[in-house]
Amino acid sequence: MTFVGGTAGVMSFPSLREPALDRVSDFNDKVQDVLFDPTTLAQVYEPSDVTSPFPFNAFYPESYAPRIQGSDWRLSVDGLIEKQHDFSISELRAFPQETQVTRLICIEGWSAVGEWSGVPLSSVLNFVGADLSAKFVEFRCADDYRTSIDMKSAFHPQTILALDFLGRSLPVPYGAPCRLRIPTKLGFKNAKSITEIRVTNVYPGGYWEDQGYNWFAGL
Amino acid sequence: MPKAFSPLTRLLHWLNAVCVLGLTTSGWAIYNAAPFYPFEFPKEITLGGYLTPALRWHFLFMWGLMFGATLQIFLRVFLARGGPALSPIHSKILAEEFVDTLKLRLMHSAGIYVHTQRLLYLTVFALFVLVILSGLALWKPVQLQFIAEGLGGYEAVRRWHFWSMAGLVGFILIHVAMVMIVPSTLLVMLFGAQPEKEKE
Repeated sequence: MTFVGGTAGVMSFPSLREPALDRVSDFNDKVQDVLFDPTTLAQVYEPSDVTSPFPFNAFYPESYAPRIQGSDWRLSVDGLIEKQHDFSISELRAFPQETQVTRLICIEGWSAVGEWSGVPLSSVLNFVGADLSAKFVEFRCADDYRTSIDMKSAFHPQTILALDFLGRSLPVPYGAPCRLRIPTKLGFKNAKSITEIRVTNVYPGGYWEDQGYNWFAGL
Repeated sequence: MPKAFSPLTRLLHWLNAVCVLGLTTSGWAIYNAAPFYPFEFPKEITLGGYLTPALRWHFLFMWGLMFGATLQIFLRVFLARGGPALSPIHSKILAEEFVDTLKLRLMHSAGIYVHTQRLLYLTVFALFVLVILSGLALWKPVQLQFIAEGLGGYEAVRRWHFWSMAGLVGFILIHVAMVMIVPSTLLVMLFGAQPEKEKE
């Protein structure tokens, strides 16, 4: 019963509780890093399995989604790289493209199957000469959303910068003109309307991560 | 005569009890974030209240349960300790016990499980296997995708996890009701005392 009482005590005091829960979350990050096999692929589905309508999800209502002129948009890649570069959409489309029909799984529990096409993130990171020993890849978005992933996951073959949904340019609510599609991580890691990618060794956190979501968030 | 439950078994029982309670009530808050049935759990009886803290609690207690369950299985399977025998179970004796129960004649002796208890605890063991497997499949639907495949896919796994939780809650209600009928069992599980064989 000491354990029961002790648990109840820890639970009642935020100054004891939150550091304890932070440590568990850090431990979960380490376990997930070990569990992550870079060669394990997420299950792929048939185009007929795509969820329709595909759900909209963000930290704001759908009408607030940023509307970006594709011709003005640039993706800035910076940080621990050899040559800083701003990519236009046509530059990204010039890379070999990948298409995937995969399941997006939200931290809330729901899931939906979608079809995304775009350029593998590894192609872009290799193009700019990213330091592959760096720990983090951070994404910053037009709606001030931020998130970050580990380098191993960034180089997973199914991690793409998606430009198309169902064979057409990404619609505004789904993250036009360019979003991260990473089926090995929870939905909130799939940043939408990305404007900047930064390679760094300084833990970048993210919009939800800073509020307590587990950082690694691997599937 | 040995004590019914060793100190380690009793410690593991209470560790599991706290973890299952924490996992269940935080799980209710996680369910509420995206309910797949037309109801939600009242926020007041959930741990954490909403998704972010509930998930943090869920993973704390997940590691507690992992530790407790692993040790418990190790004790039972490899050291043949960790509690009274769960076999054999004879349907004829089950039927007799059922008739006795209807006549309000409950046999109970600490350290020995009647056949009804054996069946119940084996069912609970199966529910624990299911709740842990479906939980792992929800946590790692890509890295451990063979589990989700065996259980009918990601969305089916959410239902498996829900219903194995419901089964365990059903067990806890029966379990606590039985302790209320035979309160001396609580002392046995707390202090390991071996009371005289009794008939109620």
